[in-house]
Amino acid sequence: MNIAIENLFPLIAILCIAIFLIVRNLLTGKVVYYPSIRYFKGSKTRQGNIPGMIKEILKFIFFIIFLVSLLIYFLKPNILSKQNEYAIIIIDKTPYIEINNVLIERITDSLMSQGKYNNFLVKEICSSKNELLKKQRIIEQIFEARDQYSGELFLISDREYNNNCFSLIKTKSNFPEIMITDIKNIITVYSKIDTIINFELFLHNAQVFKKYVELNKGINSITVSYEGFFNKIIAHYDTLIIPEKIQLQSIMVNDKTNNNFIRKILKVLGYKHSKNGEITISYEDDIKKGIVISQYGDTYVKKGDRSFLSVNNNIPIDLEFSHLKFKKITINKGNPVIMSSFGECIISNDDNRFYINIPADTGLSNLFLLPETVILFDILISDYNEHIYENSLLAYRSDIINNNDYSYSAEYEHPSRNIEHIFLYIACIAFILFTLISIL
Amino acid sequence: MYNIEEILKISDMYLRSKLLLRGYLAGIHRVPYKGISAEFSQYREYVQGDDFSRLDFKVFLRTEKFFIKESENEINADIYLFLDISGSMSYNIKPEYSKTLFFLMAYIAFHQLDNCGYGFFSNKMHFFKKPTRKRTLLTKLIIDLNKIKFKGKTDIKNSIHYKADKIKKNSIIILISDCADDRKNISLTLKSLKVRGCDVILFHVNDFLEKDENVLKNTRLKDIETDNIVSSDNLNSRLSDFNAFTESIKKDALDGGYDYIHLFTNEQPNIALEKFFKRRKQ
Repeated sequence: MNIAIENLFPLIAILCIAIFLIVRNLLTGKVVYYPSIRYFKGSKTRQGNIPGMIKEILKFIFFIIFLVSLLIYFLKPNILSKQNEYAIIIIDKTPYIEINNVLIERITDSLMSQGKYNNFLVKEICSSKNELLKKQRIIEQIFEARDQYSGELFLISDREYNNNCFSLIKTKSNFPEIMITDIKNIITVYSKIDTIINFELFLHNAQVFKKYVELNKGINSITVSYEGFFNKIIAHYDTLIIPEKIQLQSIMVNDKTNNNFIRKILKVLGYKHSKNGEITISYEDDIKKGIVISQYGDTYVKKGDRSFLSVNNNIPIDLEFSHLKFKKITINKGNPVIMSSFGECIISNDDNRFYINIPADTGLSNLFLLPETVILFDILISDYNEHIYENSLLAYRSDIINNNDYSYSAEYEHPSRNIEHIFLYIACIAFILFTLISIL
Repeated sequence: MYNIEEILKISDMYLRSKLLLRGYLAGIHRVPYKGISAEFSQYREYVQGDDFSRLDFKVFLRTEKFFIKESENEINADIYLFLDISGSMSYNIKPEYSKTLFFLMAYIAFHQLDNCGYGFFSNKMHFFKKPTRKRTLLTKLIIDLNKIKFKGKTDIKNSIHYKADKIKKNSIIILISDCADDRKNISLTLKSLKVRGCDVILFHVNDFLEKDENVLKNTRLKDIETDNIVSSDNLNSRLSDFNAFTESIKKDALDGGYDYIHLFTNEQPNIALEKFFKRRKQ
């Protein structure tokens, strides 16, 4: 049987005190009550440790503490404490941050190796089913309620929040440090760091531009003089390749969403924008033919409420996206086309309408224009035309979407801390004090 | 002769008293009250202010000098009995012994047809009853004695000195205590009563265990009242200290002019009374 040495401390303390009292009594003689010690002025008198009344009160208090603590000890309480017993890892889960088990294990191993924590807890904040900008608030709420957590908070996110609420903010995403976000004439590159990159542009598979470009942390704009659709862009770490099968269509698309995010996609794909377009992209279900993007509910908050500054030019990015409205997914319609591994319908089809349930996380990092999204839109729009894509291609896209698993939210039970041993200590200390007061 | 511990086991205070007072009730006390009476005391010369009616003209005719004839009066005296009920008096058989002694004094006073009042004190006067000669006096006293609890510190000055105005002049005051107080305070208090014309008798009661070898030898003594502890010492030193203390109380009594009787609880209270009456006759 293994017994932790710290559990023996109370027993050792009691034994020490008992030995001390026995030795003391043997050396100095037993204590005997006497009517009055006034008679013995020849001997040195020592003031009683505690006056009688106070002594009785203290005895009573310590005895009660002893009983209560012992009772609580036997009840085996689980009480949250403020000590960093747990490393609480909060994951800001977005479609563009790949937090897999390997990564979590790596992080937890790193934290546990510090020896400061006994255990860890992983909690994910999912954005797909909630108002997206609510994340900031959730983060703040978690911080405000941090006393409820018996540990230190760590946030894993690909973005920065207004308040550095946490002792450590780990930024980790699956996109590289350099990311191409806009690929038309003015190419926008988002960089996490100040760096110099080798920037290359390919027009119809031929390199037309190669230059070392200095990037600042944040959003950088690179102006190129070439016109046309770049099918390949290499920005050091990030390479954007648009499949050649994407046809720059003559299909007229009516974008009712008025969303920069959609506009950019259409712009990349070369679809012409027209209010009379046969294919309509909308948030509403009132179109005859086209794409209905996730049905959202109430407007939550304007982007302008949160301020993210571009490092480059100090212009609030809110200005660009201030009109966006962030809503809540409601009901899917039609037959499922692509399902997530958790059975949630991502894309469904109902006659002439495609319903997309891809949550467009409108946080800063998630406004980037990803090739997969571009292609997905192209597939859907082209589907109205001649179904030029092969089935295998669609299957491949569905894999991408499925792998992201962005709609999955994992809730872990928050374990509590067992503090029964504290009450055992208190009971022992109270008993020792009670005994000492009674004897002395 | 009965053993004192056996007598103290008797719950009936009357029976206890009768057993203890067998043959002692003939004792009588005198009061320091000079005046007109049949019993002659002394002659003294007339001084200005004396009552003319007390002049002895027979002596004047013989000697042509004015003399006042003084006599010793036997009157019904006011007797105040005070019992110390502090924590120190709770030691061993001291409570029963002192209560018995207290009751004996009241019993005698009652049968001498004196007015008897009593009080219990520790650090203050907890109970005080004015002198009376009612028949119910002893019954009430027994009830009151059964109610008392021995606790608290001893403060004779605060208890009696500040209550002196309630005590009639020229009365008899009997104090039963273990004198576990500052001796100056005891002396001061009793002297002040003496100054008021009272006849003061102090019964200093100690338990026999207070001089016991097993208690005193190499033990640390803990004061019942204060919880103060005195470090261990040898027996001779302790006995010497104890005797010195009692001697100092006795000396204070001699200096203050009040009577002092030292008792141990292994002595029969009737022996204490014998001592008392012997002292009173001197």
